[in-house]
Amino acid sequence: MDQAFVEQLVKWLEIYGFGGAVLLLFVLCAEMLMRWKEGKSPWSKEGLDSLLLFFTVGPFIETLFINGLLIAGLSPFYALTPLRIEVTWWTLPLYFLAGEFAFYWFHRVGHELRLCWADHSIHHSASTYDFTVNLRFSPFQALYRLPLWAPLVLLGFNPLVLVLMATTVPAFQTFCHTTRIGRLSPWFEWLFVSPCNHGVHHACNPLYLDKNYGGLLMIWDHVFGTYQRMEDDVPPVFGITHPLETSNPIKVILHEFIPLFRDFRAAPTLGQKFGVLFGRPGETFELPRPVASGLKAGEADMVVEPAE
Amino acid sequence: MSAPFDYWIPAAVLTALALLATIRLSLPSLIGKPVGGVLGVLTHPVWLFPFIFGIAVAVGLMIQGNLSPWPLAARADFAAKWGMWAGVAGFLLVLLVDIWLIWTPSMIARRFAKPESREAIKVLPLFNVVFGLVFLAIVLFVWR
Repeated sequence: MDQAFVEQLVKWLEIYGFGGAVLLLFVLCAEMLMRWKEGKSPWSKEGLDSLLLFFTVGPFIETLFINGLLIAGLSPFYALTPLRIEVTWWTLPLYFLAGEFAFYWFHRVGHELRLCWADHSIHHSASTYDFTVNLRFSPFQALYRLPLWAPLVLLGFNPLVLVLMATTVPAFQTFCHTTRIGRLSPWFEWLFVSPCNHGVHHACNPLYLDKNYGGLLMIWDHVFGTYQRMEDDVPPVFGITHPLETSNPIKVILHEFIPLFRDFRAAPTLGQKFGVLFGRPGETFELPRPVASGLKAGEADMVVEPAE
Repeated sequence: MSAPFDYWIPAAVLTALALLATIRLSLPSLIGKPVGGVLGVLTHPVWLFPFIFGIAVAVGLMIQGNLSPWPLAARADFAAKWGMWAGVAGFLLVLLVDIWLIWTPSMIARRFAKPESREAIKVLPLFNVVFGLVFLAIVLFVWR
């Protein structure tokens, strides 16, 4: 292992982060300007909520503290394994693909396990799909990244480089949270995350649920059968199947944890309690939830009713 | 004995192709017009793939004061450190990044805008120019 090269790479990824922050500022300012041009308030209420969430759990807690803990948590696995995938210029494409793979599975589990969805749904809770959604961080991601990424570390991937690849490269999605851009070139839509196919990911229409988990590339979605193109005759409805009616950041963070806890307590059998935690959202034991009064006509049928 | 291969040569060629792709995406007159043949290949947006990282890294380097936003200064700096081809690559890279900072995103938005958003997106070119120039001015005259 070339420690000097790893240190250099970490430095470059930090520089990438600095540059990315300037580009994030650009898209946020552009969003405000276009909203103003459309006769709206420059910041939507949801956008302000997202900003509040960003400053409470965003760059410092998520990016520095949580990822630091994650790297520290993965390091013992690296010490356990005799396997090593050297970090050199020649293995960086492999690390890039492994980072995408790690991101894909963390993201998929974030949607398909109720316990993890309780956290990840925070990012999806906005009913608008614009650049401010970038700011809606989920604070507990590292907790499920750790067990999911440990096998890759046991295969010999350097945890520091893996975590940095899997968390910084998908920052490209920053430019995809917008409804103003239509379909890009077909090859681009097939290979890369784009405003259209990431829009599918943020939609709660039954056709679009749990699709398009890719970070920068869509290849793992093609491999695992979760790719879905945006269909012209199915306009996306953005948000979650149980829409939020609050802007209180504490309530936004806890909005899925509270029903999760309530359902766990109420589930009559141990198997059902296990299902509440590790089952697929919408398919586990659930107490009835009130349908949000703010739902538009036609959206109410998208609210997933209790399965049991 | 033959001289060692200069890896800055392919880097310069790749950056030149990315610059051509950027120019193709940046020209309003080309919006909606397909470009085929050899020119289509030379200006294909796929050349920009490495610069998904490269542009953000270059902007980060500019913020840190390790890369001049002025292409000629970057050329001189790269050439002094790593040789002539590095200078060419540095010049082209900074030119590419400057065009992206000042112009290209707004043209891409315009090219692919949904019909209902075209009116709002009309404000982007001016904003793009102002944002890019302010950023470059801060880097050039304040941080440095």
